[in-house]
Amino acid sequence: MKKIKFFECCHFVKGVNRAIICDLQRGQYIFVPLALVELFTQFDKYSVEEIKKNFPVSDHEYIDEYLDFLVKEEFIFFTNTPDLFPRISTEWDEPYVISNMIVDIDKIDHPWDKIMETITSLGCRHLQIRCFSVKKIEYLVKILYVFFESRIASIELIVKWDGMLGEKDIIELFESSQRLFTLIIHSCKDNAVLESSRKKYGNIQLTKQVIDSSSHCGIISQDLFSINNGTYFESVNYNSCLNRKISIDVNGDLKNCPSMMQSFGNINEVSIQEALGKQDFKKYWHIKKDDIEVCKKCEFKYICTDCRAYIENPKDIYSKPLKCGYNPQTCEWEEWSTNPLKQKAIEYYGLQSIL
Amino acid sequence: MVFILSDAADVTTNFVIDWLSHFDSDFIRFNREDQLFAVNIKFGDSNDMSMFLIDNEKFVEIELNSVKSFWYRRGDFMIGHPVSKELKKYQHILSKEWSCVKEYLHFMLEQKKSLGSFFKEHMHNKLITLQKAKDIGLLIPQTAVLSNKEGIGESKLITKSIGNIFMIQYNGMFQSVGTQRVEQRNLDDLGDWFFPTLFQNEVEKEFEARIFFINDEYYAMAIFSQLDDTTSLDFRNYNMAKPNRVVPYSLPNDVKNKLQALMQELDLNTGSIDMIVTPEGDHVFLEVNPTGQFGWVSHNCNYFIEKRIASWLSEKS
Repeated sequence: MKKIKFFECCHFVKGVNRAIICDLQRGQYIFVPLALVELFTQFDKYSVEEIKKNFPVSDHEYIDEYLDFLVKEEFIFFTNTPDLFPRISTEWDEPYVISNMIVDIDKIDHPWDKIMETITSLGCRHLQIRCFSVKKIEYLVKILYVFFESRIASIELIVKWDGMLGEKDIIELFESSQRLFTLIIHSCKDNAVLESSRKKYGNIQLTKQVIDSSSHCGIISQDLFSINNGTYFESVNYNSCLNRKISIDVNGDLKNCPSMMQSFGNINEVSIQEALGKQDFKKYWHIKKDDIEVCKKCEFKYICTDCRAYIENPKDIYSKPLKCGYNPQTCEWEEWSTNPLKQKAIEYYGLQSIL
Repeated sequence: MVFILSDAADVTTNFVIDWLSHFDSDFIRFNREDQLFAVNIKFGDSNDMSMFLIDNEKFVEIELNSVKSFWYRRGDFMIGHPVSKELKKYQHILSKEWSCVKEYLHFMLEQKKSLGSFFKEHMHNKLITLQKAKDIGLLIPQTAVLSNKEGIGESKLITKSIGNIFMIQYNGMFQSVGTQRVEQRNLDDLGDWFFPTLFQNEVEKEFEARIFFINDEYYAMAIFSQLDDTTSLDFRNYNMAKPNRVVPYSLPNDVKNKLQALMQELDLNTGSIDMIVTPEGDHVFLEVNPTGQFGWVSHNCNYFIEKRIASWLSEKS
């Protein structure tokens, strides 16, 4: 009798009142009742007949319905040799000491050559540069050019609309860096996604949102879910925002993230390696979703982002991200900023101004 | 130093190099596309040979002594020395001259702790491998190379290239020719005698297995290609919208032992093996590719094969 086996690329993640099947291979998730998860955790590697034996005949119809659904969606298969299909390892690793970096720019400039030198030796793959005030194209080109020959795989550049940024300027930006994948222009009149005239350029997004400080970060939303092996296994083991991240805020302070209070020294005084070596720098890297209140009971925990800069209870580093409006008890998304229980924290972080 | 020979477009090599950098291992990468301008080799003890490999962009002197390990990922050493007009007509002679030189380079590098081999890749013969697999006791599809239809029975047949998979231009498009079913009309189109062609009985699939190995470590993945009509014959006819289910697989011990014996017989210390697992649970050996892709096995099964290769290349012994 053939046994039922789940495809190892599909993972059950249980919430309080429902679960999801995370299809990492096809980048999708679907909601399923908790009962289905129970059924399969308990009866993994059983045959249909063996499962049915454990239930009254009146339930068999539902079991068949579940199975039909799971077969149709290719979540399960039948096999005589279930033991030859091992569990997938949940290990996560990447060959970079630092995998991603955020650099904020407002009034003062940063020592770009120093940044470039260090992140190359650390392996950094992804760089986000956020300009809170208007910057000249020549200045931006100069920065991009610093990373022309580096190990950086992608750069996301966020700039402020100055009322005259034209196609020529945008092309100049993309021409000065093959690594520029996304250009976001904030403080625009309208929201839009531009198709670049030639396909070889990356994404260009215009947004009405005014991004004038790091307080805009930390939003938790379904739009930011990421369903793939990398995110999933990293979230199982590490913090899904801060792991292997380093940031430089508008003052040049080295931090886990620009929105956080704690500085590990200024880029003009200490090296990035020194900051990394300081006690506590890597503390947040190890706060995974399963350690965080509410998140640990949420079905989205391994496909979601995290935020440790703005949390519901600023005194408890394990509390839920402040800017998350999802409630796993009710399975509903609500506006986080108007939630009466969050007002104290909003005040604490001084976020009223951005709301 | 780790010496890597590859193709410029091979992403897998980049990943292994990222791990080497992470382990602080020195490496040098050569690609098929790097046209060597000049090569100076001075014969000495095989331990203190030095090679000067020069291409247009970099000047590299490699002391063979400093090469601790060698990874033949794929590719070759190409000479790009400009040839004078008078010599142009002797190009075929020059290529033969160069063949000897580059084979010597390969030979010297393969004396090191090495993974993969130019010679094994280029001498590899799928028919001989099938014969050896059968002799070792692995199941193989019923196979025949035929020039007429006499030996062709009633059963469902497939055909594929006898050598490496190749690309042809057909209807204005370049297509790689994977495994194809032999339909009656194909046979009808053939004359009494035709060019020697490979025929195999189509083996019924429960799933396919792709196995990458490095020395005695076997990393297997099951590919459920039979769930999908477009991929049921050959998973390389990818369905992009709904990719085949692929999951980690562990080979039964007796199958693994036989594969190990075969790889020992073929003197391969790395490669990618293709098998079919039948509904009865039989493991049928199809072929081994000495420089096969493993990136998708590594990614989908979370095996970290790139990391393993980098650590093996960096290990002292």
